[in-house]
Amino acid sequence: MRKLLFLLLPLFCLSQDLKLDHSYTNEADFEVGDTITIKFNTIQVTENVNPNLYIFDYEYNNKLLEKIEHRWKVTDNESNSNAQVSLNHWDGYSFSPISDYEDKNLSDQYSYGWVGRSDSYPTSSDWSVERITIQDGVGITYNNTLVEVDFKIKDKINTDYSDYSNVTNLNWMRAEDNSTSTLYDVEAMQEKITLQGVEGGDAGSVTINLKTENDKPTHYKYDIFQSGSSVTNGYFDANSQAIVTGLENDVEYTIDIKVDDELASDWLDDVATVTDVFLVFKEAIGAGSSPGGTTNTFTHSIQFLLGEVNNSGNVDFDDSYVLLSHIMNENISEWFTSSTNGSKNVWGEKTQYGYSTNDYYFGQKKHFTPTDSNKVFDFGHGLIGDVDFSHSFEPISQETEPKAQVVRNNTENLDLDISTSLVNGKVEMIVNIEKEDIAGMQFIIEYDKSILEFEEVKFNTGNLLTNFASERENKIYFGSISVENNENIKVGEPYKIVFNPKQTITNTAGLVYFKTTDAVTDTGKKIILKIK
Amino acid sequence: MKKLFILLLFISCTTEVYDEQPILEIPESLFIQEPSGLKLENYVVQDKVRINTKLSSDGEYRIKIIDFTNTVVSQEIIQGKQGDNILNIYVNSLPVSSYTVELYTKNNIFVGRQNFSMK
Repeated sequence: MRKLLFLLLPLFCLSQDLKLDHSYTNEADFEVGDTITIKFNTIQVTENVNPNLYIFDYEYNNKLLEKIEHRWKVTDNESNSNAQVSLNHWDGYSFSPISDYEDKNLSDQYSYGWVGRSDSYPTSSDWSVERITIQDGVGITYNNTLVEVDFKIKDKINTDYSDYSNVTNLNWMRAEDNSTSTLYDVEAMQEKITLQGVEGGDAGSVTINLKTENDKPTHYKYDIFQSGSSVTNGYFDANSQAIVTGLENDVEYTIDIKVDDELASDWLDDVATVTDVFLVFKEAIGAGSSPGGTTNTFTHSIQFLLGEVNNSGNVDFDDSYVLLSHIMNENISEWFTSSTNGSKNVWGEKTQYGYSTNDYYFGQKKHFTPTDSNKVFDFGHGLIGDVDFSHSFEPISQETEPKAQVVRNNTENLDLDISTSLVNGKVEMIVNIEKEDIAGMQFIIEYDKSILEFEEVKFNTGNLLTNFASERENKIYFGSISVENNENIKVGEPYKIVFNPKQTITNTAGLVYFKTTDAVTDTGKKIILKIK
Repeated sequence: MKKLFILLLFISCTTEVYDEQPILEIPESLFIQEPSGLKLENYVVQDKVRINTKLSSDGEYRIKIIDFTNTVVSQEIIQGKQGDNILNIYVNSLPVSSYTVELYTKNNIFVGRQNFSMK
């Protein structure tokens, strides 16, 4: 007998007369702001069970859903058109199911979890409770919707929720034949509702990282567009970052990243220097027009974009002369970065930047889409004319491009001795070099024009070199380049700059400021000059 | 006795050769106690600032102006004389910033260091 009791016990425990279900009626393709409709209905399990009183509680997460309205549907049913209905509402509570019974056992949760249990509804600001009461003189029909509730899907930003996995719960239910006071066993069909893949919503703080070799990230500005309209804009910070708000998840944006020409006026002429001239010359001598050849100097495809400075479509001698003219202080093209032309910007998502596809010319992928799991985006930025990447992001080398070499790391340091002296009433600035394989050097110096007057640059560089010197305002541009690559700059004192003092001076300290220096070896290696 | 007096007077008037050093007036603000060193008259500078480069011996010395990235942005080689040398640092060609002035021998042996900031 005892064994029989144990055998039957699971059957008793599993007994149920009906089920309460709730589910959404919409297509499961939700976005923040969408309206969803949740319907409640009962399903008959046991025959001849005809309750005419339903009381049940459900709760919804008010951080994730905003209730709009409810509609009674039970009275649309001819059999229950005279039913009395009621809906009560409380904010700030959540049901605490009694642990002795399964959560889905709604009738037991009613009898033991709620009735007479003072701690059944502890406060919880995230939840709102609604109590549905339906009473009729006849049995309430099954399978017909009792009530529909409309909710608006809220953005989970600024909540503690990472998803919409639990937006509603069935708490308990009393189903009774009121004429005989017979309580029926009720089980939840779908106890809680999960909204999968809710898209959109405020993306919160989105981080845009600017990738550039330039040490002036605050001179770069961004503008973010959606469907051609600007959503937000601003400047990058000293950490090369922009923390952007006001974007939505799962929306594709386009970003413009450009140098503020006004802020950058002091360094735009430093972008294209003698190293760039030399590299473009070498590329032109190689006569290659693509990075696939064996005579190329360029090691990244994007150098063909950065070195194409006359808008001809190819990198050739004309481009090198444009850049040579630039460092000789003559601006003969408007298609590259200089203080006269302003910045000519190239940018793209970091991993795509530099790698052309049918969609992205030289990898200039300017789109990004914030999602729940991705709110950080890196964009490489380059400047036309800067083939040595001195002020530009060098593309990440990919395994599919074995030829790609790291240009920025292919450099060499060189101590340089530059000094001024007062000699026979004149101020002389002398550059002293001891390295033999230098094929190009460039200097930009500034001087105190209220005290000094520029007289001349004396070259002692070699016979086959192209020397240049020019003055603009209080700056002097001078240097040399071995155009045909036949001779290097002579060691010793290749440059002497002479000034006449306009007034009596005791000495020269501070009268000349060494602004920019650049040099390149005859093999095209960039030299980082350090004045000792 | 009279002859003796004249003789003594003659002896006392005999010219003695002294190696005369020009006396340089060193302002208190530029006075350096040590045998060598560098001192600036002011540390907040506009246009120019006087400096004292006190040297232990005659010779060529380097005055380096170094920016906050430790890059030499201006350098002068002076013909220094033993003792105090009152010179100037001209700052109008420098970007407004804070700089370090360092004094070295021609062969880059350190002598002194000071800082200044521009207004």
